[in-house]
Amino acid sequence: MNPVDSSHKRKHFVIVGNGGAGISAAKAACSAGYQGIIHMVSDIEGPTFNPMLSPYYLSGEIVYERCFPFGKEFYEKNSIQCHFGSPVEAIDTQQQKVYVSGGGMIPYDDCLIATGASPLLPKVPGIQNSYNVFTLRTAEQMIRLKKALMGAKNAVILGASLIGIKLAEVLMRKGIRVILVELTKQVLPFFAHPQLAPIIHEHLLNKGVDLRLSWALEGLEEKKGRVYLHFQEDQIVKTDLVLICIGIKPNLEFLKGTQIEVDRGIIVDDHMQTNINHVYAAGDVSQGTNQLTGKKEMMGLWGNACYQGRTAGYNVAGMNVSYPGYLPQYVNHFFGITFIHLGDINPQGGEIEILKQFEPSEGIYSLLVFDKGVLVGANLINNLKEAGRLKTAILRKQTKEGGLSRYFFYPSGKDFNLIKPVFSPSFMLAKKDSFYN
Amino acid sequence: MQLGFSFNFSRCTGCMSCIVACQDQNDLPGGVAFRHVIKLEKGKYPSVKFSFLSLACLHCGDAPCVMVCPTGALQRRDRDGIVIVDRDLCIGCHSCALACPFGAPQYLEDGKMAKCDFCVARLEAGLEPACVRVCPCRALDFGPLEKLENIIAERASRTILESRGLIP
Amino acid sequence: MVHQVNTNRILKGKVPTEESGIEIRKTICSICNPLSHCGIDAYVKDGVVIKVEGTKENPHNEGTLCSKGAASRQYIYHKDRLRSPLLRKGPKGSGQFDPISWEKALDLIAERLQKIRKESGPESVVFYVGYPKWQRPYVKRLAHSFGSPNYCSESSTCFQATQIASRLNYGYFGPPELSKTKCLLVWSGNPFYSNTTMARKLLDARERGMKIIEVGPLITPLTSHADIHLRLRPGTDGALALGLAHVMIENNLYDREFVEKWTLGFEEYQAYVQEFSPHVAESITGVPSELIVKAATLYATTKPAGLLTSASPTVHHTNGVQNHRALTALIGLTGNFDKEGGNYVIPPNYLYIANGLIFREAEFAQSRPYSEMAPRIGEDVYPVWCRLVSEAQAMHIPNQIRTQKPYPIRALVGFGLNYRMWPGSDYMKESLGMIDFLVNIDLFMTDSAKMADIVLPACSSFERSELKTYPEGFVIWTQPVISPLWDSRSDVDIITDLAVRLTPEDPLLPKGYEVCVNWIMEPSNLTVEELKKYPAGRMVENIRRPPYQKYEKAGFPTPSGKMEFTSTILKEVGLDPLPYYQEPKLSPRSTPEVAKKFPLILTTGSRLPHFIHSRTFRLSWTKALTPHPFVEINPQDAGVRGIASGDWVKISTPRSSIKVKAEVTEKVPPGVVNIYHAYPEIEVNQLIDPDYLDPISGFPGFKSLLCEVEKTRGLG
Repeated sequence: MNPVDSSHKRKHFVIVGNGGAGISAAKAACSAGYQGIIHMVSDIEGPTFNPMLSPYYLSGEIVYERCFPFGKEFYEKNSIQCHFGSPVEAIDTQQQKVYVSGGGMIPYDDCLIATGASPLLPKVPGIQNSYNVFTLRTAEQMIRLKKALMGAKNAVILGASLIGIKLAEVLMRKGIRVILVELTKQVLPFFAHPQLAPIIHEHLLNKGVDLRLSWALEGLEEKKGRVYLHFQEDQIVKTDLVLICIGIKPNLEFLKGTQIEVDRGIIVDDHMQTNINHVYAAGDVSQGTNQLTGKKEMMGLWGNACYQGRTAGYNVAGMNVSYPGYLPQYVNHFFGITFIHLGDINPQGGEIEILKQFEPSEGIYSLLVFDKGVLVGANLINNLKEAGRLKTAILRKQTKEGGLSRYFFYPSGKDFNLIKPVFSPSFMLAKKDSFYN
Repeated sequence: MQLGFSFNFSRCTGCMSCIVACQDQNDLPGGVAFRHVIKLEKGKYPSVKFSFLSLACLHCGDAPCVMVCPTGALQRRDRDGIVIVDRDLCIGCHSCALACPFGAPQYLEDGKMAKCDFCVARLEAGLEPACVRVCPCRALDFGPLEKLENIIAERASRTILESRGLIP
Repeated sequence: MVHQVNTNRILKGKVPTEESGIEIRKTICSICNPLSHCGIDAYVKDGVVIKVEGTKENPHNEGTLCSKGAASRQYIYHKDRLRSPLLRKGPKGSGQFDPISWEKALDLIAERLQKIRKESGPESVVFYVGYPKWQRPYVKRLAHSFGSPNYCSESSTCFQATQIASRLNYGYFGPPELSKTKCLLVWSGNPFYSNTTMARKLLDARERGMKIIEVGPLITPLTSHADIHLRLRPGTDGALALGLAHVMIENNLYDREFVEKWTLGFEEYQAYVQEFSPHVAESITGVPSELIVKAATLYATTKPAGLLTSASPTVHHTNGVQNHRALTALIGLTGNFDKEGGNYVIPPNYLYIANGLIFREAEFAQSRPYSEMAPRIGEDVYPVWCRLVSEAQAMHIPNQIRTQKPYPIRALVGFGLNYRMWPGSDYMKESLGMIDFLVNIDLFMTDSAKMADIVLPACSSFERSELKTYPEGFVIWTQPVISPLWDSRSDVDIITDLAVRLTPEDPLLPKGYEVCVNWIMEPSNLTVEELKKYPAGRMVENIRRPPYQKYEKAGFPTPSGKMEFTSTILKEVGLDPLPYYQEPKLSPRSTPEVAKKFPLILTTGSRLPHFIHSRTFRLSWTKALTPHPFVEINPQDAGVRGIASGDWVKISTPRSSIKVKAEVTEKVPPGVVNIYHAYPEIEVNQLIDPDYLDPISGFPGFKSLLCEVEKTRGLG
């Protein structure tokens, strides 16, 4: 641990967390010419890890080094003071000090809390100390899981979330028999509209996924290296390993005793400031603005984390930058399809109208959600070409009657006939078309 | 220096040569191109307006695709602002497609992203991008943004002065 | 033939340098017609074209290309390219063929044709060229040297009728001088889509302040640039032209001096035009009378003014020739004929291009005068055609095949034959099945090639040498940028090889293409040897352009020596000498009972920029741009029928019906629907009766028909 330079002349910017938000803040402060010293505190050793990349590593598509998109040299090149392997224990917002385990203390002039989030565990007895139960958030967990997969013949994945389904595919590709369990009636309970979910279910079943919906885990025990999962109605599943993918919760324990305003996550304004002066928050630990609803919401998105981190970094460096918030936007591939979720597919109240364009022969499914005539959300399966533009349409509060454009290319049926020109897909997805026809 | 495309609405006739030239340059299959052409039709005859917009990647200064790319495959070049994807680093996650408001990212058979790279190899050899070269109406141009802005400003000034009879 | 490129940046970017091994070789594109034929830089590596670009130093296209030329590689390297000569083995039309050698194929063809000539006379063999133009003079010469008068081409439905019309008026004709004209009247053309080489010139002229009057039912990319748009009902061009003339004459806006000195029949014309007051013209054409007055005044009073015609839209009507006479008469009426900045007459040079260079193409092709051969196909039915056009009228082929009068047609040698071009295309297809011997030369196994007894593989312009001249005075003798693919050959080499067997006494053809070209170019002192030194082409210096107002010295090349408002030739054959206006044979006014069931006017065949007739539908680059056949329908008509964009609809005419998708747009006026004709999935021309023809030119009335459009469920 480096002795902290507490010279009066230079300021200290302490970033707690070395994830996407943290490093984006450091990058931003550097590029904005921050004259002070930048500290980065993290409970984990090593450069910034992007958890999104773990399925690609597990499947063998990318090598280990590629999971660290900002590289190792960043810190030295930019003279960052690194306090890695030092979990934060407390923060004193009046004295402006950060305390890490082992007794270390780092004073700050500005502090950014970017401690991210950790996977949720189901509240059942037996889960805490199981050896063969895995969550996937850090590089270390990824390596551990990779090892475990090598010997495994079967696995249970709890939670048909975006990551859960993706991991099911990765494991099945390795020849592991997978049971994908979901508590609710449908996969992707927050992201897939109930009218679209059945299509995904059918697709997964066609691909051989053993999908168990409305299955509630009641207990878990390990015996002789195997895990026994107890579900409702005395159903027991025996398996080699269990992956928990039921969601994340922000890492906030160390904020006990502070006055920092917390809902589920740390509430921030459009400058990433918390309610306490000189304390910022960004990334999965924070609750920033949902651009669509204007409310403060959790958003576990890499892009959002980076934008927020950057905003905080610029502001600490003396610029006056605001970030209007993010729109929920998720894209995921699994089992040969691409699923996209935009905005809000379940707006509360109001007059909700659903418009569907399902083309089973093309494998393209689109579902738009309108609230009082305004486009608020969308689910797309395989309709990637329009996703970015649809997102813009949502942000612009495009109405059903209002228009963006009609495309010159004949729409070939993939036209939302019910909507007067919002958009039409520009090209058909290229079929298996050799270059020379 | 930031490179950019300029597009002259009043000269574009929607012939789509730019699209095919891009496909030819980049060996893309039919239906996939880094440049789109959008037809805009508004109003009723005799005041109906038809126009066309040719749009490729805008090589944004604050490119959202670069921000959201999880592997760092997308980078913006400092020297000229061109946003380029390194296909060896790309994992095909489609985050960029979602981030781009203009629909610039395309995906090829290998599942990885490909998009307009400003024909960077041609630029480095002193040639113009394929789409700019092919355009029969000379609606497309490219260059440092400052230079393009000057050209447009000059044209606009001339139009205003001509319309007032102050210059021939 | 898929070319493997490594990730090296220069190679990937296809930059032509020594290290990349990519070489630029010059050629021309001949996917569309001689008005374009853009210069192409082919990027060649290891004998394969890996990219194409427009040639910068070619003054015609100046480094640009249209989407079709840009797609050249998919055209040349298409997997369906014919690979060898083929001999039919199954029943006619079955598409079953055996590959044979060139020697065998040419010998067989010669043998059969000679036998047929002996039995039924050389005139029973038809030599036909479809849309391609570069080989035409050679096919024509082959036909006539063989003894057959029956050389004909796709010009039986395109361009030649406009020539008939303007020659009946003036004896010759010329295009407007775009660089000098102050007002351009564009009559039913879509130059931005049919000739991109004109695009820049038009836009630049516009920026210089040129006024534009556009006539046409459809909205085109030109409409936003036009000062006045005369949106007329299809087929009423003649009435509109007479209405414009009425305004010009009534308000004394015409060139009195020219009219008095150089025209015939003005009095009758003036009297006739009296009937076409703006009000009457409006009631016929649908164009508001104020606009007619405005347009007439603008065109007549702006000096100089030019009139841009188009090869087919005004003559694809059953009243086409007279329509076109009426509109071109406006040029002389306003004193803009053969004037600087007006319509300027230059004698034709080569392949429909005029630039002042003098060649001997017509002489070369007409190796035997018509008087020494049997009457041409269609001569009895279309005497005016045969008088003014040196071709047979191919629209009459199916009739003569069936009637065998005045003599049977027993064989047809086709270069790019496409039976779908004929009105009532099924009628022509059936007729083709009735002749004894059919040869087709093409790059692909088209539906028409399937009907043949022998198919010969032609190559593209990239794979051959050819002579090309441009309006700017630029000339190029191209070199092949790659060797002919598979066993394909250049069309003219095929012709000269046939000539060796069929017409060995011909002093030129059997000696090969270069000998012929040298003979043709002789008056200009150009030689092939000389041109070979400039693979990228060169400008010919000091071309003498003929003076303006040639009529002052030599009169007009008409029977009377003057511009003829009343045509001597028409009078001779018993037709109305004035540019008489008649409704199209099928129209809401002429056939109201038909219009009850088929209330919408159907126009077909207008241009899309990425297709040219049937050519580029095979290419995925261009097909994907508009992948489905579609019809354009106005929101009013669509609304009443419950049709939205993307719906499948049935288009029916009294003869037949087809199913396509609908595109609802203001591009077409209410009451008119527009369909693009050449999608391979549909046969638009089956909607038209085979005898729905202009009696003067024999041209089909493709652009004024009656139909109904109804929503339908799905396909079939």
